Amino acid sequence: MPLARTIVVMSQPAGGGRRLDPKQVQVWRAGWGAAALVLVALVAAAEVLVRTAGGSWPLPPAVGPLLAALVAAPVVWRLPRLAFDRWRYELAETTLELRRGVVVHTHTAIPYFRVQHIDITRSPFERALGLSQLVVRTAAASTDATIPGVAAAEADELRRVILSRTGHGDAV
Amino acid sequence: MAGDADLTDQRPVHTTASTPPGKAGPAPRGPRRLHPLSPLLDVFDRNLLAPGVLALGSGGLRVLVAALVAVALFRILAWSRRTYVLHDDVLRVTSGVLSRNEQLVPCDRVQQVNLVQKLRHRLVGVASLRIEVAGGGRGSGVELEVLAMADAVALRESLLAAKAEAVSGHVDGASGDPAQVEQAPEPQWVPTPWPVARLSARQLVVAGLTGSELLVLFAFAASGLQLLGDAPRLIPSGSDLEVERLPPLAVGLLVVAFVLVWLGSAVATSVFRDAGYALDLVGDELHLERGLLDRKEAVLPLARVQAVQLTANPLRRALGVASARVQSAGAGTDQEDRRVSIPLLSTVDAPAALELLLPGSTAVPPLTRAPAVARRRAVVRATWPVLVVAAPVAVLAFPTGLAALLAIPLAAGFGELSYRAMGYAVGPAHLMATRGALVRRTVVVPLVRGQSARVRSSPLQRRLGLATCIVDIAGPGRRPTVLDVRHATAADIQARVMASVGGR
Repeated sequence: MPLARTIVVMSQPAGGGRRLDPKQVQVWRAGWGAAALVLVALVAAAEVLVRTAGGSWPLPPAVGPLLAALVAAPVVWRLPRLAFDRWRYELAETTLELRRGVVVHTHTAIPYFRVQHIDITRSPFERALGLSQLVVRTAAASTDATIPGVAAAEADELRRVILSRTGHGDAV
Repeated sequence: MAGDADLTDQRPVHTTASTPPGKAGPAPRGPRRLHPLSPLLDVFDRNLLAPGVLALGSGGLRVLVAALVAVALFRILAWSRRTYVLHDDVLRVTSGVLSRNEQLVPCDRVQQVNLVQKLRHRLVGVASLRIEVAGGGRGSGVELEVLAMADAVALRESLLAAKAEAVSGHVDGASGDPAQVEQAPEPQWVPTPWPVARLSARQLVVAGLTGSELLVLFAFAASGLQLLGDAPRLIPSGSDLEVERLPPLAVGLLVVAFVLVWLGSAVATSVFRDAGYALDLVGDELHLERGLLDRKEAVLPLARVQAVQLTANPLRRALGVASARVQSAGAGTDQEDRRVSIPLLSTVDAPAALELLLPGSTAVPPLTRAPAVARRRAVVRATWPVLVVAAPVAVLAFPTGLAALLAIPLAAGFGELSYRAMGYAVGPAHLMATRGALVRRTVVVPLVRGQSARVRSSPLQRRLGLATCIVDIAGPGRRPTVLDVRHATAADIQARVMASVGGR
């Protein structure tokens, strides 16, 4: 089956470059888990609504939300791990290279020369785990270059290194 | 002062003002106010229409007059506080009645300078000047509304001269011709305009009849229909029957009249907007002029051109014409009236115009078609959304619903068309990418303009060994995208963008 083959190919590490901090898996699991909980809650709410309105619900009581939870759980558990395995960032000679994506593979390259500024953001959950996100900005709004899961101390250093390579001049 | 004199003076001022550019320009003068007419010129603002009607309804004419006087007084106060000065290559605009606001625009950040002269501006010899800077959203950049025509032209000249001087000092020699920039400060050097595009009367008509102007009537029709919705109450009830009893000839005449009004309004829209259209290359700047009643001028330094997009709907493709849009990083350039564009361009003339807008682009080789396996991807991509909708319809509404399945071959045909439209070419310094089954869009982007580039591949693309390369460029507009090429090709395009931006 081709899909199985693709998954095997996907889970192989993508060559050189740095990995994210392994704790990032927990951040993603928490995020995906919250989304899954909302999904389960929606299914439960739909069931309650239909039953109180006297309609016919096709499944026995509580089976709907349970099924949703059963489908979501492996995804929430497995996908962050696969995403972590795929993620690589590399500070090449003249460019910053990001390789990522479980289903859709993406390889982004940003010349240091084009970097306008770098944001470091930390959600409460990331703060608890001592992680930071590095958001690299260029003059193009569509540039999508966020490096998640960088240890907080390392993030400042990483930002300093990238900015020291940007050079001078008007990059637009 | 006579408005006519200012208008006729426009050309001489334009050329003489370029003699002492940069710091020698208006530096000795202190902060200046806008033209004294500016607070009063737009008191009857469209935005004030609704409050005005409200005022008239609630308190009659006296309240309305009081409100207008209050607005005018506030505007005069705001005008008295709004000053601008160009000093040391920085444009400083101070404004604000209660909270003071000071805006600084370094000349080397200027992307585009627009000079707009609405009809009422032309009557009194004034113009509004808009200075676009890179990045930012709405509200970035400076709008000076309004200045005396001569002041506006002089300020524009000083800004652009200071900008050219500042940029030539930088590492970013993106204009590619430093000799030209260095010549600019010399007093006697007046560049001769080189025409990039002109529109004949015939082309204006063709542009109106084949472009989006055809949709203008429908905007009117929408408001007209609203009126008609109220009409039955106004028209005596008997007239409804008479409409139904109209003879076929009258109906035919009505239809002809409607079509004439429709096409006429499309042509009129095009003529009003683009009459006197002239796009010139003056030195290393693009100068655009257009408009029958409201005159619009835009100046865009050639070094600020990010990409050029050619667009042609099926009708225009059949006629061998297209429209072109110059993408720059200016903040407001997603608005139609501020864009630098060519409304109609013969595909025969397109390469020559492109070469002027993007020097070196003639070296781009002919387009390479997408690989044969991409056909499958294009057909599947176009068909599956239709399949998802049509299949349930066919099952749920069994006998009649089967008609929905007819949409599937249509979608597949559309996919085939989009496969045939796909193409790309990489020259020594430019990337060209074409797509679009019906409306064909071709983007030409200098490789060096890439801000970042990415190669994406979905599982379905990977099964066929395909990928998509997307080049991110500054400013609004479409990103150049090369869809469904071999993964190695996509990676190669990305590598070429990186190599040309390199470690500059």
